[in-house]
Amino acid sequence: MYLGKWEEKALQGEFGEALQLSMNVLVKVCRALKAEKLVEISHAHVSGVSYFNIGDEGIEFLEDLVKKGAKTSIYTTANPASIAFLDKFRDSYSAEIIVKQRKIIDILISIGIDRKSFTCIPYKLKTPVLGEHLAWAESSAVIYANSILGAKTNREGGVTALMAAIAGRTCFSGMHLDENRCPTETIVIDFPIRSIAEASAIGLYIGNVVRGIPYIKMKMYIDEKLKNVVLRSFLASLASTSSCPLVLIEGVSPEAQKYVDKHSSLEKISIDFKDVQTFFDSMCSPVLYLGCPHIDIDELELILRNSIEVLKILKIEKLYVSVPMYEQEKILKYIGSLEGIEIVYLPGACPVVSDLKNLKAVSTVHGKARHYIPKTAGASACLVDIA
Amino acid sequence: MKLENDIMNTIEGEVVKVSVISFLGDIDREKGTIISKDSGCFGCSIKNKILVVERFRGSTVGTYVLYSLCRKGLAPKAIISIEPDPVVVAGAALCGIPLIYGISENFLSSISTDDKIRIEMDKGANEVCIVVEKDFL
Repeated sequence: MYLGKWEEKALQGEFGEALQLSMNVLVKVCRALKAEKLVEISHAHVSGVSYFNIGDEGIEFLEDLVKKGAKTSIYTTANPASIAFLDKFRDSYSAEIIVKQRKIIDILISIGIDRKSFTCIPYKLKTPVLGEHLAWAESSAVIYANSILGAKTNREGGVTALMAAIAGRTCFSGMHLDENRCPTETIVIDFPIRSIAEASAIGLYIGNVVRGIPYIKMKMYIDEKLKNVVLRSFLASLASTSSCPLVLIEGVSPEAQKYVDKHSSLEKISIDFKDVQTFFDSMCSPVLYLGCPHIDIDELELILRNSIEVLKILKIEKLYVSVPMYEQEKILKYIGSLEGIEIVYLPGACPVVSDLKNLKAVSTVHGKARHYIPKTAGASACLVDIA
Repeated sequence: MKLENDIMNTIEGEVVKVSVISFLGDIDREKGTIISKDSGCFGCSIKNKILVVERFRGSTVGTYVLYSLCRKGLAPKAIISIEPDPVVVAGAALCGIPLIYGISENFLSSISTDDKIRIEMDKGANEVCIVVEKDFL
């Protein structure tokens, strides 16, 4: 593997222990991925922020990094934490868990991570441009950056994304190479998408059948301002049931344009409504979760405006809404209930990576939440078509 | 065949062989024993063993778990596999566990749990040699 002069020196330890460790891990991982060299990146996004996810081992590792003098060398954001650090859940978790969750957040901020981040939509804080090289963990953000923005990132592991943040580089392999970004199959969705939940169900289905990089033809009959939320939930769902890092959506993805005439020679899969129906469940809880991936307050307002009547008919009692940390101030001024439905905001947090055993069940319109909550949070989840 | 993380001298140890493993979920973090039944070596301790793996699976959190096993002295002496897994490569790099990958399926299938393995590094020729000793008694 080729290393530049600076990279050689960093690997030899000339710039300190933390950089040496980062380069050591990166070089070995990159060799395993058959990368010929490293590529400089402008933004790293790390995952593994929830204490329920990384445990005491993760804290030990982060503390060792701090002792070695670790600092990020480029703009770095982090995924949401578990809900355990929020004051409103003080009574739901033990003091030990709360202290440890806060410790992880504090260490990450001390290493240089943007304190306003702790979100799974880092592209709203700093939007990458076409062709920009990134090292992002968090599968839903990776597929969004590649597919919607035309930026270049692999699905990094939590630790390698952190090493990349310190070294400012990652492996020049996979999605960083143009030849790996061409469509390999065509997927046609035969019916128009009308809601977040429908987009989620289609995403979950495509994730199960996709083999390479799909060229996707789809129509959305959605309020223009909600289209981005729908796309986010679609892509996050698709990335939950597959390891797909990129899709080319006709009329949406900047790189899809090149293949408008060429995709017809690819193998074609058609999806009709019956295929995705199996992903819808009957209502399982009067608690509805919104914000997977995170939504901002303006988007929440729109969703509620369109769906409040349905929520009332279905007797939804409580809304949990995950929003980015940077929305914290806005929340203070925003409503706490709407027409009898209580709204609980979760700034910088994510229920999917939290312990939700007390909640038992949660309804959602997001495919990723429906896929992961039973596996990672210990509660059951149902996908309902109400927004 | 590729070796990551240098071997200073020869490494010798008993084999624990698994068909599939994830460091998150398949290994008891406190004891260093295998707790997944489909691994093919349920209950085996990986501490100071040569871990021979047909296939890795699972979460990227596995890196942290391998790192923690090292700190607790519960990690394997070396890991041998067919394909490298980035999550395991990162964990092995953090604690300097020798990791050998790119060996043939045939050779890997000839190795069994409780065999003895010696890994020698010929630095001059830049070659790694794996010697498998079997007990037929």
